[in-house]
Amino acid sequence: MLRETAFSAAIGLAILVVAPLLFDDIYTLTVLTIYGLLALSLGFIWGFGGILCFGQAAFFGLGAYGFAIASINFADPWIAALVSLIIPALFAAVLGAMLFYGRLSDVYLAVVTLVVTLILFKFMNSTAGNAYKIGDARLGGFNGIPGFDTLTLPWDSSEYLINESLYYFCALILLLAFLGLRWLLSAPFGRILVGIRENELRAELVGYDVRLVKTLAFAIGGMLAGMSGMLFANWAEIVTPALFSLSQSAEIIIWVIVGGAGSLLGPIVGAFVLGALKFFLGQQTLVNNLFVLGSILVVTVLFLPRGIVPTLTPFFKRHRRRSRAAGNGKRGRGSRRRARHAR
Amino acid sequence: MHADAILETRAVTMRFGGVTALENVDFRLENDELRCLIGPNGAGKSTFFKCLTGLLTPSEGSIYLQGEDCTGIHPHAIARRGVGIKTQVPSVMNTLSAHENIWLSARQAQSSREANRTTAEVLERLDLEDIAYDEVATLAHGKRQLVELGIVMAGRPSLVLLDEPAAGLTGEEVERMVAVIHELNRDAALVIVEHDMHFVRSIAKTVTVFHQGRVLTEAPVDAVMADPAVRDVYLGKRA
Repeated sequence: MLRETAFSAAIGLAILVVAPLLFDDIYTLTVLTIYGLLALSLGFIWGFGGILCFGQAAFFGLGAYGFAIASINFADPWIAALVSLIIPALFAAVLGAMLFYGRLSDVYLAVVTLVVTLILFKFMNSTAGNAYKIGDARLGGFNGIPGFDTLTLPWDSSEYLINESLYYFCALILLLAFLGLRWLLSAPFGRILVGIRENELRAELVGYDVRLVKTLAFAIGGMLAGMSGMLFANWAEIVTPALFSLSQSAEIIIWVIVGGAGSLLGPIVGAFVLGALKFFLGQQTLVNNLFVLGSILVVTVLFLPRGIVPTLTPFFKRHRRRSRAAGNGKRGRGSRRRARHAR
Repeated sequence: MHADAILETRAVTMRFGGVTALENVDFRLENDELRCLIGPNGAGKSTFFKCLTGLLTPSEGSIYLQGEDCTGIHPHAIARRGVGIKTQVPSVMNTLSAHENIWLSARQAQSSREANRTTAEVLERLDLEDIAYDEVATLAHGKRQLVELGIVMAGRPSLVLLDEPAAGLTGEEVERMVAVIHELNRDAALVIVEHDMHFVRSIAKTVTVFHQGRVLTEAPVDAVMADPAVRDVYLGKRA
């Protein structure tokens, strides 16, 4: 496990370091990395916890707004960053507790999370005027909140994280989140979470409090989405109610479906591929952006129902197994099985 | 209530709207006892089983586990009180291996290292080592039943509730199941809901017969088989 994690970390680090050399638009690359983290947050709770949340944009928006408001009210943007993690995590924990302790089934859970996002969207849109202030921060209604302090280097508060430095910071956060979730999924908590996804009744009958485990997983997903919102606020330097929009929520789900919900890498790949395509299509007027994204979703659901990464993974694993078998010579059936299980 | 009763129910009644599925059921199980619940379809056995597991909360009455009132508590809390539960249709984690299924059960009350040891022991006791790392969804019905029993065993229960453990098993598998149940009974008391009277005869000494939501009789298995009232309601003919 440790060797595999170190291998993943090295590969991930290499890709994220090399990416700016191949992709000269660092501004777009940064937001793709942020989208990757957002997709990863949904990929974790949906792919491994079986919780289909239609409102991941709510936590994304809360993270972004939390950062902007806290940054205006506190002198240190790093404190604001901390606040922007705590708010969506707490919000997700409370919402999750209501959903899971209330025994809402999957469909109702999806509907409730969608409605919560819409409520936040409507509310934020109607906060124009001086009455809507949190401390010194005016919520600004439709126009949102501009002009807040963004993150600086921890050892030099005059040096803001912008362009390359912001990209590398986002890339580091994405890598750490990926490795952290990988570790969590191999730890007892993650194994129990997957067990619950597979059979909730059985997990209950052996003594696990399914409601608590799902609430915790939901809060972790909310925190990661909030973290991506905080990074987005640093990238865009403005937060608006559009962060809570329906299209934002739908897009996250599409990234995860196309990339593959059953893996941690899939959602990141989905976000990068579709996000890049969206930016590319946004530069032309010949084809409608949404039409192309919709078509890709339909094609994926029909021909790659498990998504890109889970479909391709067996090919790589088979290839690796063959190379190992060639290297190791004779190995028994049992040892091969154990090796497969360990992976 | 005597101190040695591991399970006792008092006047348990369960209503679904206007339908009374259970009415004033008093039931008592001693430590290390093995009891079968029998009765025709609709007699209330499964409803009673679900009340014991916490999946249903009785409309009236109380359920005591080792003297403690556990009426209406959540299934996971029942399981944490040392109750192992096997459902009628094998309830397993399909895309996980047999090893992982059993490990997750063991891990609930043990450290990871202890759970590894317990899992290895259970796999050996049930002769499941060969298929330990196979996905449970790919196993035959009999093996899946054994995996579910392994899940129950790994929790080291003091009371085991089994719903039709012999359903859908071949003759050879039934023999294996009988042996496993006797083995389980060395450390735990058992309540088994079962239809197959040959199976019941091979495992139980005492049988509780349900009829129309009530306990019709409770007696040694041979006496029950010879009871005209039981033959009338359960076997459908008069003695």
